[in-house]
Amino acid sequence: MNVQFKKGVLELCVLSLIARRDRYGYELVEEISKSIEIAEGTIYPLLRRLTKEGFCTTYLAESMEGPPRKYYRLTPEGHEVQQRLLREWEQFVQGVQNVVKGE
Amino acid sequence: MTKAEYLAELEKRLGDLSADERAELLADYEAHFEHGRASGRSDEEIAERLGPPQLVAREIQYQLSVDEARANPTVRRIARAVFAGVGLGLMNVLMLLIPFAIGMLLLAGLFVLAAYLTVSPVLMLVQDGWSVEFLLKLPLAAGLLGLGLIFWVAAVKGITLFVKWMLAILQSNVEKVKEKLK
Repeated sequence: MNVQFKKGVLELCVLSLIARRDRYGYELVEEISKSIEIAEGTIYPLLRRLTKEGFCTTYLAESMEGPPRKYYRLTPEGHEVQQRLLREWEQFVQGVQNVVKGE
Repeated sequence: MTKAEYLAELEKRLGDLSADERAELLADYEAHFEHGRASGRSDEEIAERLGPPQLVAREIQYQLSVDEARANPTVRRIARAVFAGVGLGLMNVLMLLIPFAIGMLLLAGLFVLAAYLTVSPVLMLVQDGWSVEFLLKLPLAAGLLGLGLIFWVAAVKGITLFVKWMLAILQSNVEKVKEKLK
């Protein structure tokens, strides 16, 4: 798949997962890797950018097992971006469907 | 590749980052290894799935260079971001390099021309000496000097335009996915 295209989709995936509930990095990576083939290491720079752009905030939480978890929480702005990307994605998929099926 | 090896390789390749930023990112990857180990994965497997540290570092460098170019657009920073993007296979090399090369050549040409025109009266003086011939050429010299100054202004303006142009191309690459989704 086109590298750039994949990057955009990845952003939508990450935002959508955090939109449902706060997530920590490893969890996000695991969740996405289940469905999409990615170089897992590229998620962290993406998370850093999303945080920098103010789409999410982070906080640390201790856990019973393993090291402390760095959780990501979506900001209102992040929710807006997620909604916008989702609409764009749905329109895109719909468009492709129309073309492919010749409707 | 073990956790220590992976992190060392990554750290080596993130030399451009500020100490804080580097530490923060490395902590993310370190935690990733720890979480992976806790769920029973070997270092080898975790490293394999993360992707080569070189690739991860390039990704980070690219983002950093775009951030910098946006915050404070100078030709050097834009050039760095462009090359980082090309290295990632994110952008079509020709699509970026051709405008970049053309812009640079045009600007360089403009500056050389401006410099030549501006010093041309001096060159005439050197050639003819302080003579009648030189005095006769004085109006021409003044004209060339004036033209030279105009070219200077154009060249300086050109830099601003060039910077804007390259920024727009970069920006459009960064935002391209979003456009594609529309």
